[in-house]
Amino acid sequence: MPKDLSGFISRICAEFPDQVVSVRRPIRAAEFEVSAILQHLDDAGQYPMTLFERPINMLGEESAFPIVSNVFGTRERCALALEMPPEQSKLPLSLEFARLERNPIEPQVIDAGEAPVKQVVQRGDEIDIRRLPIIKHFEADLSPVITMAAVMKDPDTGIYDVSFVKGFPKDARKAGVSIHTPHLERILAKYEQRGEPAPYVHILGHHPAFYLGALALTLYDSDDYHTIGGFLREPLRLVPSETWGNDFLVPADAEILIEGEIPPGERTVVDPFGEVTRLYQAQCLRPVLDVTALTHRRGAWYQNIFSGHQGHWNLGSIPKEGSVYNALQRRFGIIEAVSLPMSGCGRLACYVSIHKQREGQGKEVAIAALPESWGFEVIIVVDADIDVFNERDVLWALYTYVDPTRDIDIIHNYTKNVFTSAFQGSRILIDATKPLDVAFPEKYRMPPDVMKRIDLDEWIEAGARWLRDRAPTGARP
Amino acid sequence: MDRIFWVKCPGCANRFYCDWTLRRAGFDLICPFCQRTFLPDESPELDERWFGHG
Repeated sequence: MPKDLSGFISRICAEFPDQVVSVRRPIRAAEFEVSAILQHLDDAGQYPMTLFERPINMLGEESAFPIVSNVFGTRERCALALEMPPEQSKLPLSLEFARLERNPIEPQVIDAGEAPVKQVVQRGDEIDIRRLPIIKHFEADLSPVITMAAVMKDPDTGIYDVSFVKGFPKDARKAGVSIHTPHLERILAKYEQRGEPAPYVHILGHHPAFYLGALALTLYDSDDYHTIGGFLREPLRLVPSETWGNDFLVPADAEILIEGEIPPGERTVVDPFGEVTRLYQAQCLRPVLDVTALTHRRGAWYQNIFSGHQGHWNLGSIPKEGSVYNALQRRFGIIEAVSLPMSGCGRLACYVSIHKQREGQGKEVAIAALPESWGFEVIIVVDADIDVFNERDVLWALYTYVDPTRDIDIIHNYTKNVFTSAFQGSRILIDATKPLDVAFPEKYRMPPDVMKRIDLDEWIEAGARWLRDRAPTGARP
Repeated sequence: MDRIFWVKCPGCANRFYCDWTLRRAGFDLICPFCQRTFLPDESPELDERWFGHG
């Protein structure tokens, strides 16, 4: 069976039932109730894949489409999506991601009759995108927002690019679309220069490996449909679109597709929307989408990303960690691990651990890491015995080893960060490795042979048996 | 993030912010709280302070 979202949900439900929760009651998606559930789970430190079986849509009707969110909520689930064991969800997952992005697989074109996403086809007046259970996430969001990704096609080379976008429904067949990735912006600019409408297809729901593949750090002239096949480990199945036929192929195993055209030069007001940094995106002008067709599976899932939360952050960190590691390791050969932590929204901060051999290497590595992503604001380099996936460890090194006068550098007049306002054009590099050029205190440790000999499971047992054994006989339960 | 400015909705008095490109673009802003549309200069309060711009 080709990989799809329904199959992944079924697998997680069957093999990892503790990673799934369901909301069976009707829930008003456009009135914050879905995001309130997700926020409560986040507040409790829980990130299960969350199924909303009876969402109410923007029209106040029970939607035909159940919602799934938090698919990417844990690195373990992202590892499962890429056919890796969950226990390899730290650096091995990121390195596997970096390997997969260099192993594209050619897609396969199938007939519409075989394509699940063509089981229901709507055109013209049949379409009302507001029937989808579109979620209003945050208090000051302009409207409910469609998340996930869209595909566009370069009019010159014919390559397809799949990138994450936002859609703001304006009426039954019109939406504002926030295109903010360099590749999609470039494609849209080409159509606008020609004065032609740009074909655009919003992909609402597919196997998580599809979306992880879409985030691969590939060059503009590589075709994302090929790259995504590498991540699925099988050819991505494509089918002619309803609007443009063979001239624009769409993913056959998607849950829901919204096809439409972006008229050149037309703009509409979109945002605010609570973004990846947990700040609202400012209200702004974005292109307009005129919807031409809506196709979906029978019983399709409506997939959503809970913006500015763990699943969203994993989608930033996992694709970059492997490539940063590879770039630094090629140059220095002393890199232990790389992490883009949750506190930096998976984008703003980068922690690197090194096997430091001489003073100055921490700073060299920090300088080299900075240009590896335009989102980095802070680079912290630590020793190899610090787990960069454990923020408490990293902050311990920061507070214990750093002399601000020599270990913290501020780079001025750097590129302005697109994510936040605070770092106007500055970056911070911190060498939090233990100094080697002065007599410096040693970090304590337990004798390794004793640690190895003492197996916790053999020595401790659950419960307060000490109290029970010493309680008066009559008081024993 | 590029320069922003805060506005106060003349209808519901809630505040939100906009990209600076909307300041004099001639487009109506849309209040996310009550959906009222208005031009920036119709806002009873504008906060245009920005780094290096007073």
